[in-house]
Amino acid sequence: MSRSVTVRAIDVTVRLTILGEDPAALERAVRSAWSRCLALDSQADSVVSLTAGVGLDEGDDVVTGDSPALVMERLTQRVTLAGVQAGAGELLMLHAAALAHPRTGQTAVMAASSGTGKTTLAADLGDRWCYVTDETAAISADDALVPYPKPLSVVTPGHPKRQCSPDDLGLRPLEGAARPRLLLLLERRASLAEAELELLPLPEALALLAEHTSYLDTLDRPLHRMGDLILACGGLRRVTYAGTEQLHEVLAEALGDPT
Amino acid sequence: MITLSPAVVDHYVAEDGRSAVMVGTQVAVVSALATVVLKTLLEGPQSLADLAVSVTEALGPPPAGVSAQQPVASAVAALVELGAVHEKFAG
Repeated sequence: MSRSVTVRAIDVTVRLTILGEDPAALERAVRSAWSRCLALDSQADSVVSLTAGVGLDEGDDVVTGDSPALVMERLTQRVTLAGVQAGAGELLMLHAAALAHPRTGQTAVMAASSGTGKTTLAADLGDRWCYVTDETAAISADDALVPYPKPLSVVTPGHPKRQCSPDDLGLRPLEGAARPRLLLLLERRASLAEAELELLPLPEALALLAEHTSYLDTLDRPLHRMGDLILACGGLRRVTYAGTEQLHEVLAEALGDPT
Repeated sequence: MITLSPAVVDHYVAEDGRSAVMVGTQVAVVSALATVVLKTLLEGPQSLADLAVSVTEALGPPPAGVSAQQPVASAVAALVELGAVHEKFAG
C-alpha cells in the first residue's frame, strides 16, 4: 500500500508517494525530517510529483537507494532541485543559509560554496536566530524571502548524510515575514581571532554573488535584481571567519541582539 | 562595425562608472572605459572611431601621446573575448 507526504519546497508543492520496503517507516522518517515543510495538497496551485522508496526501479521522478538513509539523503537533494527549478524565472535564488532576527524578521543571507559550513552555522546559530534555510535563499521581486526550512544534512562519516529535522535540533522557527537586510559572502580561515569584514564594490559584488546563484539568467534584468538586493542590504560584505560564534557577533552587530 | 552581442543578458552600471555585464550565464566586471563602449553600443552598431568619440566625451581625452582609438580598441578586444560584442570587418 502506498503512502504520501506533501511538502513545500521553496515556492512549489511536492507530493511524495512512498513505496518499496517498509513504506510506513520511511513515511515517518520523511514527516519527521520535513516537519517544518509539511503542506496540504489543497494549498497548491501546482504540484510536482515524486516517488520515493527503498529498492525501487530508477526513474526520472523516482528517488531510491538501497537503504532508508540513502533515500532520505537523495530525497532532500531531489526535492530541493524541484523547488529551485520551479523558482526559475521568478525568484532570485542564492546558495545561501539564512537566519532571521526573531523580533524584526530582518534576515542575514549568507552565501557560500558547498562544504563551506552553511549547515553548521545554521545548526549552531539557530537556537538564537530563526532558521529560514541552510541551502537556498529565494527572494521574490518584492524583497520577501521565501522560507525553506528543510532538513539539515549532517555529515556522518562513511554513511549518507543524516537528514535532521530543525525541530529535533532545537532551531528557532520563523514567525512572520523574513526580509533580507544583511548580505554576506562567507570564507573560512582557521586561527582568526575575530571575523574580518570587507565591503565589496558593487561590480565585484555582482560578479561574485552571481557564482552563488541558480537560474540567474532566467530572470528579467538579473543584474538589476541582484543590485537591488545588494543595495537593500547596504552592500555585499565578504566575511572571513574561523568559527560560528564570530558570525553570531557579526549578525548581532548588524541586526541587533536576538536574545 | 562593432555590435552588441545578443548573448548579453544584462548590464549594470555602478556609481563609480564601472559595471558588471552578464553574457549567457557568466558575469564579468567591466572597466569605466569599456562601460562607455557597452552603453554606446546599446544605441546600435558603432565604428571604432565613433566609440572613441563617445569615450572621449564621457571620460575626457586620452593621455598625451596616446591616440583616442588605442585604448578603445583594447577595450573592444576584451569585450569580444568576453562574448559581449562582435566586431565585423568590411569585406
